[in-house]
Amino acid sequence: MSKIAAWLDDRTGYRTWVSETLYLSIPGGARWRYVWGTTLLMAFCVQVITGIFLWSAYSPGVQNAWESVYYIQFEMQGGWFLRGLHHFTAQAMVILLALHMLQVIIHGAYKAPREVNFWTGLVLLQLVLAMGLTGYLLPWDQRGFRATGVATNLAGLVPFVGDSIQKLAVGGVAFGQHTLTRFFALHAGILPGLLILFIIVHVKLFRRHGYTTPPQTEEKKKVVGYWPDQFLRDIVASLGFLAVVAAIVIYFGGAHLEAPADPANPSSAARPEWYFLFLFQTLKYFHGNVEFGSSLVIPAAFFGAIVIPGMIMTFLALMPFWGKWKWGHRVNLLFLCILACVIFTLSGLALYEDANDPDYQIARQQADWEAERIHELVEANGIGFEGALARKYEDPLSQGPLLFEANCSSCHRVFGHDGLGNELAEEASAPDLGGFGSRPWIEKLLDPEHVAGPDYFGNTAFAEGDMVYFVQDSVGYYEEEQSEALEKGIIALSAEAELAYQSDRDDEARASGELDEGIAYLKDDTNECSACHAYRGVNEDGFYAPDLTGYGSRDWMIQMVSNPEHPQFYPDSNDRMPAFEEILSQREIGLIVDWIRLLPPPEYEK
Amino acid sequence: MSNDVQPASTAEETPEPPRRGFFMQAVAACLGVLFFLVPFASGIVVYLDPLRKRERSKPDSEETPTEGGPQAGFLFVANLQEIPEDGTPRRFPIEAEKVDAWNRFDNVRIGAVYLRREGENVIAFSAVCPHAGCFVEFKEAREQYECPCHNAIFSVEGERDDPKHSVSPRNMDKLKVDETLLAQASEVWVQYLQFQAGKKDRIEIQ
Repeated sequence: MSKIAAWLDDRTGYRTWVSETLYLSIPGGARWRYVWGTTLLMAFCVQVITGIFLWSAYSPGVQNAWESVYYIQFEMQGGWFLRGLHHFTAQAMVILLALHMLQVIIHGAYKAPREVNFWTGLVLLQLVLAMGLTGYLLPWDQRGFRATGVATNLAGLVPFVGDSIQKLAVGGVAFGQHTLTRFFALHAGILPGLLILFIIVHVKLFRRHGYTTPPQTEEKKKVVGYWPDQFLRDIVASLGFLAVVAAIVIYFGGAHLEAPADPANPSSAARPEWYFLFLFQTLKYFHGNVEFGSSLVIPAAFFGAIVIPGMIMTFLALMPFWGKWKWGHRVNLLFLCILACVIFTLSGLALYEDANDPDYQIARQQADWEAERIHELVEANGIGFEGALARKYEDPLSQGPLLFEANCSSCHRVFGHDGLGNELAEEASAPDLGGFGSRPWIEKLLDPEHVAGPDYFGNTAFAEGDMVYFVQDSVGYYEEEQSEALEKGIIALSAEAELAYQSDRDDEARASGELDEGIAYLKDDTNECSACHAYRGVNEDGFYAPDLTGYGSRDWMIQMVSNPEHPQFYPDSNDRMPAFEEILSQREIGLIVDWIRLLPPPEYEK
Repeated sequence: MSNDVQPASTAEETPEPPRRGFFMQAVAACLGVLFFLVPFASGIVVYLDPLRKRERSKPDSEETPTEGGPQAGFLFVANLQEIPEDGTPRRFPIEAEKVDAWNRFDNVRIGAVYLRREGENVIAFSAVCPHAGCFVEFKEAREQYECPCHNAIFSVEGERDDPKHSVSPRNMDKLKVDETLLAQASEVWVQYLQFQAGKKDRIEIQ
């Protein structure tokens, strides 16, 4: 065995290499304090290993990126843990980097003769942040898409060449296929290559200069080799780090995945990764433009996003030059203190402002809901060739609120809001459609207290019409017996809608015979309904109010929305309602109708 | 082969100091650079492709616009009746053909505009914030446009209250509306353009 080793050493010289690597001497002995550099290196190793495995399952492409990440996250065995480990180690690396840098500066390890090593460290810091920025986009979800869009727009602010930088980063004028392929090449090729190169230089230089030991150890003269004393401490610290990250991964169930990027629908909840929040917040304070003469106008945001961070980095890079003097070092420490305070304050402010902004909270909830919903849709239907976004566009729960808000909420509400959960300042000028066609909805329509209120006809042309008159002057004075008969009429009318959330109640009524009694009530041409409305062949010719056959059903609603002036509805008395068949496609009208029909009234929610 | 048993340490003998002249060294260095230049330059040329000015694909533009029809470059956005009469802006998606590298999509949403009535006219604004490119939202409760990212605020006319104290370097981007079609057919056709974010002047992205 020893012969083979000797032969190998003869051919390769590996023993020198091993002893150089392992037996670096540490004056003053091994210390826990020295573990951070190695821990950082080990964290990078975790990223390389997990990254390459993720790579084997990831596909950069507009119709594939989110989908492949979804598949890793929810379908592949252990995928959530692998992705979570990569995601949270990335974040932890930023913390480790900050600690490592603080330590280097506080202990004066940046001073001569270690300047160059300090600079390679600063380059590594930039590279790690660039890895974070490029990695954030790769899942192609709403959050990464929007936040990265802002980042590339900021690159465009650089005078003269900004536009070209932006185009090169984005791979064209708009985010798309080539943005992904380029970001992926950066994230998995160029940046890690540079990182490895600079890590090698960084470690080589570190080994050349050795550990920055405290001054008093010079007297003790106790020298210990790296192996195994310091290595043991390093690996224990690295394992501790890994354990913490793994615990976080398990606690959160892996990394979050938002809904797929949708260029047409903004996500107002998009925020950059937490370690960029201070830059995000900084941008709120840079107003307007800075004009240099009349020819050169530079947006103030350029200073906030690029010049000031650049100046901070420059100051950090120059620190070693005056750091060798006692007061110079103190200035550096003070600068670092202020920088840390500013970053903490700005990040805290960004979080505080969002936490106290009701609009942001609604957007945040909406984004979470969308993420959950697309997950349900994909689970139920799979992902087609055209990507997961297509599932969202055919889903009433996803599209209904947006279409309602855009097309209906100028007059109507659902349960008092605009479809997206926003309360509007103006009162609705048409009925509230939340729970339309359900028993509680019809009961209130036939309730003298509600019929002329803002949720029904109060703000419409029918406020003083026959229906309101009938409800207030007739139903309001019904005897108990008449009311009971009307109740059954309501049950029968509501059953026409065939609402899924009411089907149990409808079945009960059918079984108990109440439904038939109700139908008979509605058909009875001696009662007041048929004075105006047609219903199942009764009063087919003479009616002038909406047909009650199939009232509130999907077809009835689609036809009503398509053309309210159709003879079946309000041929002569339509109040402001446009014929939406001229505005929306049948598919879009169907989505709005399906969505309304999915929302049970609060009376049904337990 | 007797050479094989020679100790490897011979390789560690210091090489002879170069005796050749400056010329040889320069040639050697240049050839070395040249070698790497070939693969690197051929990659860079492709990488710089996004900077190339592309001819806009104009499948329709060669046809002369029919009398009374839409002008070239204008897109149908909405019917006039869809816009609230009281002057409240309403957001509409812009659907158009989109080419993304090798993909061509018909009628996809490429952006959004706000339309607002002003008497007989319709005013159109791009929904993209001129500051950093997020989508602004019209808040009816406060009657202003608000950007969810860095808190830019614009009046209902799309203007900043106090340009010196707004994060946005310019007002919202107003877009042209085809007045003839609006008057004749009550249809809103908008010339949808996108502009570089963060700049004081409107510079079209193309």
